Amino acid sequence: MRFLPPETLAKLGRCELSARGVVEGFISGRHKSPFKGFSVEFAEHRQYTPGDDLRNLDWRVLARKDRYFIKQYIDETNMRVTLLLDASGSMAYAGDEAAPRDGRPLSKLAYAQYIAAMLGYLLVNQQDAAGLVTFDTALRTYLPARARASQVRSILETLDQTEPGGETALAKIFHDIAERIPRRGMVVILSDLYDDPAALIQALHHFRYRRHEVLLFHIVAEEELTFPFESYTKFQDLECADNRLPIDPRTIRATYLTRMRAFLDEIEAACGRLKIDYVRMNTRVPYDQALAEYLSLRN
Amino acid sequence: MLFLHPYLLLGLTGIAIPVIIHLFNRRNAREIKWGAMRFLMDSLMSRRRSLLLEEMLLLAARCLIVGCAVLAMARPFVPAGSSFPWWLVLPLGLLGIVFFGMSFALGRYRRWQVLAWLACLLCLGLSAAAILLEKHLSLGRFTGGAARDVALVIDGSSSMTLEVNGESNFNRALKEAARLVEEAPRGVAFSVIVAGAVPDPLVPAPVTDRKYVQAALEQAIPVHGVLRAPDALAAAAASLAQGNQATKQIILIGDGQSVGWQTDDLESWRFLDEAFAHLPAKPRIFVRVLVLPQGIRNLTLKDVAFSRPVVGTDRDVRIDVTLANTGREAVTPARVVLRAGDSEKVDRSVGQMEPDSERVVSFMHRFDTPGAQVVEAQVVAEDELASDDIMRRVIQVMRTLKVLVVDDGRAVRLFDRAGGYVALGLMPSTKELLRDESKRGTAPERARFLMEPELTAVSGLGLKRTLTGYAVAVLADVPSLPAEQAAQLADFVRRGGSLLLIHGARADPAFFNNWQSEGEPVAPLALGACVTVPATNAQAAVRIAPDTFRHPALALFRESGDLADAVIECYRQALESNEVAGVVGRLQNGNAFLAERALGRGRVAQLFVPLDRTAGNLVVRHSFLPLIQELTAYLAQPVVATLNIPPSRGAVVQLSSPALTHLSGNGLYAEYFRKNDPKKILLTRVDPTLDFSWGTHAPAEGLPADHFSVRWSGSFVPRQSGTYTFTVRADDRINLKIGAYKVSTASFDQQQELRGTFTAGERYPLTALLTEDQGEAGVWVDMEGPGFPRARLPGDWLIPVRGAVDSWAEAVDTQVRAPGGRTLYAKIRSGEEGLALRTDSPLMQGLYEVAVPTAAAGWLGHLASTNDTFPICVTENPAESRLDALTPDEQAIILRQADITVARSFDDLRSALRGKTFGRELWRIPAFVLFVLLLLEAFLTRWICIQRKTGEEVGGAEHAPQKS
Repeated sequence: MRFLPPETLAKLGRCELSARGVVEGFISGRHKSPFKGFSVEFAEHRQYTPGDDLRNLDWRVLARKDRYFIKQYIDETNMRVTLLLDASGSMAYAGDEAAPRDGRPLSKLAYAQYIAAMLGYLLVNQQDAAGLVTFDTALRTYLPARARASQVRSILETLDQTEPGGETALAKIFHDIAERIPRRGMVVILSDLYDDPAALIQALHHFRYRRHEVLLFHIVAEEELTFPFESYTKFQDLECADNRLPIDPRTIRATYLTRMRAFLDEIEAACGRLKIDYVRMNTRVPYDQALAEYLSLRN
Repeated sequence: MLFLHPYLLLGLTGIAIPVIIHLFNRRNAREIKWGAMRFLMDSLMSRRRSLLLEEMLLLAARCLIVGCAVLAMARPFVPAGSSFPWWLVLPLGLLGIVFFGMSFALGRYRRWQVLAWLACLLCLGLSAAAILLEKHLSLGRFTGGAARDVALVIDGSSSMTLEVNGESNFNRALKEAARLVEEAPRGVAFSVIVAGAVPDPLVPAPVTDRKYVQAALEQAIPVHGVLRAPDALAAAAASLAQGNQATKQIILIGDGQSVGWQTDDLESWRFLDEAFAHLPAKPRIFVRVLVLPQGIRNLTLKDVAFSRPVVGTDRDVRIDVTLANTGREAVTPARVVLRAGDSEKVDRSVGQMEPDSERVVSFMHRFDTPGAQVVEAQVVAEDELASDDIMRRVIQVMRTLKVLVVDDGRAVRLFDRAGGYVALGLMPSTKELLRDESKRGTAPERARFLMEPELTAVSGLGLKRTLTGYAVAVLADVPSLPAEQAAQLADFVRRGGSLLLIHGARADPAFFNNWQSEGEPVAPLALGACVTVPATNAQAAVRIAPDTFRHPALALFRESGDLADAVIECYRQALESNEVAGVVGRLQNGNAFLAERALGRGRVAQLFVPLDRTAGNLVVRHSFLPLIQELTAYLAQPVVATLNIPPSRGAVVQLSSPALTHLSGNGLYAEYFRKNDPKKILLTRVDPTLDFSWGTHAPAEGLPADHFSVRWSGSFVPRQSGTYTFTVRADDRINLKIGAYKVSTASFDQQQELRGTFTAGERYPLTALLTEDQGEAGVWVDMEGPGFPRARLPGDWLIPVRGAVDSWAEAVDTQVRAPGGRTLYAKIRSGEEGLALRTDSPLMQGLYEVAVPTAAAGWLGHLASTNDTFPICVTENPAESRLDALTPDEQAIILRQADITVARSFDDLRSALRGKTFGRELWRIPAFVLFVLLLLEAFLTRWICIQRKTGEEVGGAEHAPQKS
């Protein structure tokens, strides 16, 4: 239950409260649901309560029985969201600027895990299906999307056991997952995307081809963005222990930043083209705040 | 290249500081686990080359900064005469430091790193080796230890008296020398020499008393003349030889005028090596060159010359004054003045003179009184160097020139005699000529004629005991001479007299061709037959060819005169051989006319045309008289005293030729004086021997008949060894001393004997003192010896000199007043070498007055007739007026001759005195490089900063979420 500590829950509760509109909208359907389903498959009727969206009013029933019923579609109430959590070594980077948790700055992985926990909780609470995939070079765990209440616990347990691992090989995994997800749904990617951008974009393309909605949370650490190192540093690769680079960071700072900028721009541009929601999450900002901001924006 | 503070070079270890910092940084690197490695790797890859370059540059720059700072503080300099060029050594060292720094940036490339280390070691090693070697070489030059002997040589030549920037270089040099003395460390002993025509030692031996040296410097005056650097340095070496220290230095302060350094006369520099050989170690010579004034205005008197070598009071002589412009501007002299005796002549004819031009101004002057006289020429002009505007010369104006003309004496009438015309030519007044010789005394006519011919026959020549007093002897168509007279004449020529042989019909070739003296023929050419050409044959007429004249005596007749018109009716053939080619004039048919040769101190001239009526109409030509006068004057030259001498350290001045000196030849030197007044000598002369019967008369005119004394002195030179007996009698009494034996008589009738043993050829001093009271006077000395029966003491065994030939022991002391008022000491002696004056003091240019000592008054009548002093002139060198500085070639020559170091400034001199090396300081160069490097490093870091700033834009807007 680590990832849903009381205060987070409380915050979530608050979040629920503050985003109650959102969540309630999810549950009660009074507000326009941000997670609009695609399916038009008729599932059942439910009693109309004032405030429901008249779009889904079953006019035929009204004509026949003179009673108000809302058409409910399967997917409207049952979004299938798959959370993809990058557990490669690069995610283990923490940095000093990251928002702290228990006095220590959060690593990107921990940050992503918190986000994943919150999202899973939210989704299950609103009776959507949430699934979880963890991977590094290969798929590590695969929890198919379920709407059951116990799914949250499963997700949290899996998250708990996830440790940062080997190298990153995003593109291959994405291709794989894109094929695995049975029906089209939503894919939430929590990764630092440190892979070949072209291959990555190709994989994102695959998701879109499968008609998935993709939500890309790009987790980066502040230091990775600004590269503030001054003194001579030995950089050790988190993914490959043999890879060491002792350099004076000042000498390559400019080039690094240029390349980082180019990388971010490329991804962003590709997401824009593919109509993928791109959210850059800087671990400096506390995860709940970041998520809340995003959700409110989305609404 | 050397360093003033070499110990500071230890700071060069500081170049390791940037390296240590660099390595320290690396060792203390933070370890950061990083995720975005690919970005790092990519960035690194793209910047790898420039990264390496940046690092190398920075490290090299930082090491170089430390290195330059240390080098600048250690004060590098180039010592004089450096063997290794500093522009190689210094950059090599800096390069080594650069390699050192760069090598630590090449950590990743082992091979290059090792190469860089090797290069660094090589460069640093080479420059260190060069510096150490230089130190080793230099130490040989500049020995430490303060105690040393230093000779200060101040250039006192005339050029130093010129003013440069308001002060004369001489004063400047004195001031610098005084400063040197004052600031010298303890233990330095100084000697001071003022250099010039003759080095003048002010402080002859090195002394450590500063005040004394400084006082001497204050009183120093320029010597004038030419610097004569080798002589000055030799004098300095001589002064140093008297010092006590082992280290010797010579410091010369001058103006670098080319003429003093004698680069065209390297022999005098050889002599310097010998002078240095006497010192324990070769002295180091430091030369400080003051600024030589350029572009001066200067007129110089280059020469004052007389038109005739023999000048009398009979007629004018032309004095040529040569003016030269040795400056760089055109100058117009106001006037040229000639002073001689009481007269002063002014010439204003010289106009503007261009630089390097010369002009000759002639004056005609007639001397009134005989003796040594000063002729002074002066040019009055506005020029900067005044010391060369006056030139003096001393000339001996002859009272008379006695010429002995000998012919065969057959004819009676003057014009019939072979020597008649010759005698007439010499003294063109028949009345005077024919006047009895003894009556010639002080007739006013006498003053008109310089030459005093005495016409005699061969027999008359035999009667002459001595030829002393004649300047020239002329043999006018003499057939031959008896052997004794021939030897006497030859000896006369050897002693400085001259002989003119005139050959006509009567000459006997056998005699003249075999006439020898000490193995040499007396006559220049051998005689051949006599050729007679009758006057009627106009076409075959023989004439003189003036265009063949090549002789100073005949110079007058080359272009002008009527010698060529003379028809020669009789002449003598000359047999020319190739060895004695002394022909200086010919007849038109190629036969010799005049020939000449030197013999001993004198000359023999030979005319092949008789100068009498038998020769034709030569004797009635207008040119005849000048011809005979010129010939005789030329031949008489050796008897004229040389009273103009060059500057020297001590000199022997020939005051009269032995031919004219009384005390050459044989006899005894006699001094006549009153009995009770021995100090006042009434008469001095050479008496042939001690054999006089004066009776009641005085021994000579002007002497009293009674109450007088005579002192004879000289030497007795026996021709045979053995025991001799001298019988002595005198009226009234005599003391005689020969060698160690003496005898005296007490009364006029007493006869005493002196017996002694003598060795042949040795000189035994002889003195005799005769005292006459009253009545008759006389002296009679006989000699009897081995193989010699008793006879009068032979005169030719007596010589009037007591000491050895070259001895100055018998010389008379006298004083000489030098220019500037100093008094020098000199000796005058009369002997077989003639009359000479000797002094050991240095003679610098100027006019000197020699006091005539009473003891020598009789000898110097020809020089000091009226005064009691006579002048001697030490001549100037007009080359000193040329202010040419030493050219680089000449400097190179000088530097090769001796170990000379040029000090560029006074401070260099001072350092040399302290034994410190000196040279051009170089600290500015590393300081400049340091400055540049500091800028470079700042620039590099700034550039990196700029690079960093361009990258900062990326991190800024990262957490604004993007909308799709």
